[in-house]
Order: sequence, then structure tokens, then C-alpha cells
Amino acid sequence: MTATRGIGGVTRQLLWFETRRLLRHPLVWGATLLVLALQTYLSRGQQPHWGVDPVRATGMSTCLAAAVLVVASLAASRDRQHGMPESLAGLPGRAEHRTRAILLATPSVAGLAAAVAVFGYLGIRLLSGPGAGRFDLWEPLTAIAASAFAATLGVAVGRWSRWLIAGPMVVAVLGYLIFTNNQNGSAGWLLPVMQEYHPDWADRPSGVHLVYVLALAVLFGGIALLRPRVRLAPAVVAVAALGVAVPSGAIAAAEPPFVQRTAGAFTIDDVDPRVRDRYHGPDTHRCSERRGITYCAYPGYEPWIPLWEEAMRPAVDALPATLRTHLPRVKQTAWTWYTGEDSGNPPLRTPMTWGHPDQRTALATDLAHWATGLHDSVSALSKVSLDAECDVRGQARTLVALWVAGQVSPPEAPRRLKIDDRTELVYGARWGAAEVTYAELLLATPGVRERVHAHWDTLMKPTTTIVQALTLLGVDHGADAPMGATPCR
Amino acid sequence: MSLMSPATHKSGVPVRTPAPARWRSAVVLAGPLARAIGWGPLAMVTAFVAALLALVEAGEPLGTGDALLLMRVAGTLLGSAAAFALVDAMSAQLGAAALPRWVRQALRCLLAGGVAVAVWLVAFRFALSRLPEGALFPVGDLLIEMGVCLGIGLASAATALRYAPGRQAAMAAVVVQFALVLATILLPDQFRLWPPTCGFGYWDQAHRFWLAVLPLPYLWLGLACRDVRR
Repeated sequence: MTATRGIGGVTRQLLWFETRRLLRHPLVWGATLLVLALQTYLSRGQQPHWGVDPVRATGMSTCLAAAVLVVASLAASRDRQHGMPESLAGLPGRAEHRTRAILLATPSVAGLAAAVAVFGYLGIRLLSGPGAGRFDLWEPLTAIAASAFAATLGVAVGRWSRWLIAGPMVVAVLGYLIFTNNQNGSAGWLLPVMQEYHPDWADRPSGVHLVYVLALAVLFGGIALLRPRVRLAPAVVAVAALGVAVPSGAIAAAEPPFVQRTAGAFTIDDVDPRVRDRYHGPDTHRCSERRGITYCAYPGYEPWIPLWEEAMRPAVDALPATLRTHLPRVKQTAWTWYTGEDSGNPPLRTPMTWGHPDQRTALATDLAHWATGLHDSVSALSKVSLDAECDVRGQARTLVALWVAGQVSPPEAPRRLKIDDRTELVYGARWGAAEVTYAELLLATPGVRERVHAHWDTLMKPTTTIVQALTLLGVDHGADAPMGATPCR
Repeated sequence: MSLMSPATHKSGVPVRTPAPARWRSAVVLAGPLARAIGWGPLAMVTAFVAALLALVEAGEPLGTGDALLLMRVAGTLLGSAAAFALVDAMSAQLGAAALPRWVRQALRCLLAGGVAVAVWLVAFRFALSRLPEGALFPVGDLLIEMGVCLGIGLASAATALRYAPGRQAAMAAVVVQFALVLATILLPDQFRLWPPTCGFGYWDQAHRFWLAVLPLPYLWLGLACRDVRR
């Protein structure tokens, strides 16, 4: 056996050893399992969104990358442990062979673990219901690249630093920066993971960012190999990787930050130009009809139409047949970019995410307020003056509205409803505890539906009181529910 | 080695030292142990914490949320760094010493833990000076959090050192802390141990829990510092 073949054999042996060791490493696989379990837990109840879910999973895989960095730096610094230099001096293979073996083994196993975590999570999501949004393959691949980057960075830190604590410190810095990525603006793209994203934001520079992260991984591999002995090949590799990382990082970070919606007037000019056409163009929605109702969704969100229809159906069935024939269309709305251009019409809206119970409540309440005229009364008033308020307490139609919406979710006092990722809604119409109590009573009384349909026109008059309504509906009532000082007309 | 007096052992069996004498020996030992401890990791983390606190949002007042996050990062890292002080290269050979292992390890814990807490308090004072006037930033609650992190770091390193000698065993502190932080940081609000805003939400409940668990890591540390060989 020649000397070179012997040394090649040493690298192979060491590579095999390191790979086997990592494949059995409890920290690496524990972190993989943790990422998978935590991300699945955090997205419970939410319908899959193929645009956001991979980004969130990649963000969570930072935890795995942190574990990989610590493990890799420990493996790289192993040969300087107490007593090791003396023992290793008598064995074939030098520090550069050990470094090379660790550099080949850690990114591969780390990438495998990240792939298991991210694609495992996406597999679970695939099975958990219809998904919407556009899938970007570069996003989950970034998780794999980020883990490989953490591996080579860990080896470089382990090789260059005397202190074992250096690895955790690098983790702390990167972890802090990534954790606070919502404050970093475009500079966040210079980090290996950029998890700040919402469903109605513009497409991300994910491809060029993936190239950037891979180049960083190669760069730190080269830097690690330069420590035992300065040689041409790793130096050239490091410089070439830097040559790729700088322009690709610059391109990714040149992406202007997303315009954040602030308080005050929000016009079409404030909408991020990258999404203006998508959410405010002439042909933004794809409409389809299901059982007499037209649903308009943004492209890619059509799979959720059956879910919206299922959520609304009990409330729709509670309406009289005459109303059911001309229901307004249900229109998906990107709340981040909503400028009020349609003055609240149509009143039935669905958001960019789906799954939160409040979203069903809001959709049913929208329908109930439209059917009972509360929507028109309140929005007509808000056209006169934004500060004007009127009171729907004590009116029979308020009780009917609560009863209609109550088919979907139990009546409750007015509160902020979480209708989307970052949007909450408060209805202009306010009601009190008495209305809620009587609505619960109506819901518990059999045969109310037919009587409501029979007296619908009387019940809808703003002058009809709740006590009159209860008498009409043949329901026993106790205390009166008084009308407010400025009742809505 | 000055720590081993030939008169105190017969054929390798440690002789029980009376308690007052043990206290005296412990005090005498503090100096040599302080020199024997590798202060590198703590020094490095101290420099790092100083840089972090000085550089984040440099030139403008620090946000309370950021300050809270930074003090927690500092607390966990200081806990990990202090754990390296427990590494005793000669522990395998020191079965027969005038002072039992637990006294030596306890001294190391006190020295390194004391320094870690001191560094953290200085860092806290500095963070406080960068906060806007009148910001709520309670030292007691945060110190309890830091105390638990430090205890967990020391206890896990002490446990690992029973099974493996060398500096790498002390990394158990990092690993255990890292795992615990990950396991608790994303819990739902009512169970979250790291409330993100001082004094709001479940802050008081969380800190009652922190205070209740404070003795546990130190109890564990006490068990882990016992003699390896009986």
C-alpha cells in the first residue's frame, strides 16, 4: 500500500467513524424530533399554507442547526482534549485528515436530519387537510443548507477556537439575531434563516438566498481546513465561496423590506408595489359557485372554498329561503393591503389563513349582520362620520343576528376576533349581556327557526324590541333588554 | 501536590477530617483552587456579554423586550461557562485527598458561580442604564431565572463529570440548558416560563414557578458532587 492510499484510507476510515457517530447522536436526532414535534404542535388547527408553512418550518429548524453547530464544534475540537494529542501522535492521520472527515460527515448528516424534520413536517401537513398558497421548493431546501452551514461553521469554530464555549456563543449570537429577525429589515436576508413572512407578502428571494447559505457553508469549510495547515486548495475554495456569497447575499439583502401597515389612512399608493397587482389588480380572484353562493378566492386558495362553505352552511340554512337566493358573494381579502376601496361591500370576507375558530365566528357574524341589516345600518352611519356610533341593543334584529351566527359558534359579548395572521376585527354593532342570554335561550328552544322565518319582516324592523320578538316567537322572557340612547336605524 | 498530605491517608483510604478542620482547609484551599480553575470560558463569555450589551441598538435606548432577551442569553451562557470550572483534570487520582470531593467541587461551584452572578449583576446594571427612564426591569425575578439556569448548568456538568473526565464533559451544561430552553420557550402563554414582557401577562405565575424550582438544581448539584468512589 502506498503512502497516499494509506492516508486516503485513513480519511475514509475517519469519515465512516464520524458519520456513524453522528447518525447515532442523540442531540442531533433529539433536536430533529423536537423541531418536527414543536412545529406540528404550533400549526395545529391551521389549514396547511404552502407559502408560509415551509418558511416557518425552516425557521424552526434553526434549533436543529444550533444543536448541529455545538456537536460539530465538539467533534472538531476532540483531538485537543486532555491526553488526546499524545495518543494521536502515534496513530496514522493528521489534524487535516480528521478535519476533512468531520467536514464531510457533519454537513451530510446535518442535512439529512434537517430534511427529515422539514419534509417530515410538510408530509404531516399534506395529510392534515387541503392546503392553499404557492409552494416554493427553495424554502425547505434552505433548512437543509442552513444545517450544513451550521455544521461547517461549527467545525471552523472548533478548529480555530481554544475554548469549547465558543460554539455555544456563536449559537447565542446567531440565535439572537434570527430570533429578532422581525427588526432586522432587509439585513435579515444576510442571516442563514429568514423566517419573517406572512401569507399576503410578496414572493421571497429564496433561490438566491439558498445559494448564499450554501456558499457560506463552503466558505467555513475552507476556513476550517486552513487551520491545521495553510494549503492552496482550501484557500482557493474559501475565496471562491466568498466570491459567490458576497454578490448573492447582496442581491438577497437588496430586496426592499415589506411595507408595514401603520395607523392612519392607508391608500393604494401605500400598498407594497410587489403585491399591488396581485391584490388590487382587475382580475385578482377566481370565483366559483357552491350551493347557491359565489366564493371568490385568490389563485391558489381555491382548495379552501369547501371549508368556507362548510363553516357558513349552518348559518345560511337558518335564513329564510327568500334571502338565501340572493346572498352576496364571499370574497377573500388580504387584510394587510386592504384599503377600504370597496367600502365594506361585499360584507362577507374570508382571510388569507384558515383554521382559527374566530374566523368561522367572524364569517357567520358577517352573514348574520348582512341578513339582519345591522351591517348596512352601521356602515351607513360610518360613512357620515367615523366617530358616529349607534346602538343595536334591545333591537329584535340584534337578537336574530346573534341567533343566526349562533348556529356556527355560541353567542358571546362583543370582543376582538382574530380573523387573520395579524388582523383582529371589532364589529361596529355592539350588544350586551341580555342579548347574549336571550340568544342562548332561542338556540335552546326547539321550533324557533320556522317562527323566525314566519315573522322575519317584523323582526327586522329597527323599532321591534327584543321583548316583542320573544312574545312573537313564543319564548318566555324575564327582564327587559332596553334599547340604547341612539338606536341604529 | 500540596492538596494531598501523606499524613491524612492510610493505604489509600481517606481519613475523615473533623468538620471545623474541614472548614479551615476549605478556606485555605480557595486560593489554590481559584488558580486551578480554567477561567477562560467565563472570561470569554464576560467579554461577549459586554460586547453584546454595548452593541445591540448602540447609540439609542434599549427596548425592554430586547434587554430582557439579552439578559436571559447572558444568564444561560454564564451558567454554561461557570460549569467549566468544575473540570478537575486530576479528579481520577484525587480519591485520597485531605478534603472530600464534594467540598472541592462545592468550592469550585461557589467560586465560579459567584463570579458568574457578579458578572451578570454588572451586566444587569449596565442594561438598566441603557433602558429608558422608569422602565420596569425587576432584578429579583430575573436573578431567580439566572440562578436556576446557573444551577442547571453546574448540576448537569457535575453529573457528566462523574462519568467522563475532561473539558468536553462540561459541555453537558450547554446541552442540557439548550434542550430545556428549547423545550420551554415555545410553550403556550399560560405555561411559558419566559414571559416576553416584564410584569405583564403570566409574569408573576411564571416567576413563582421559577422560585419554587430554584432549590432543585442545587439539590441535584449536591448529589452530583459526592465522592465518585465510596
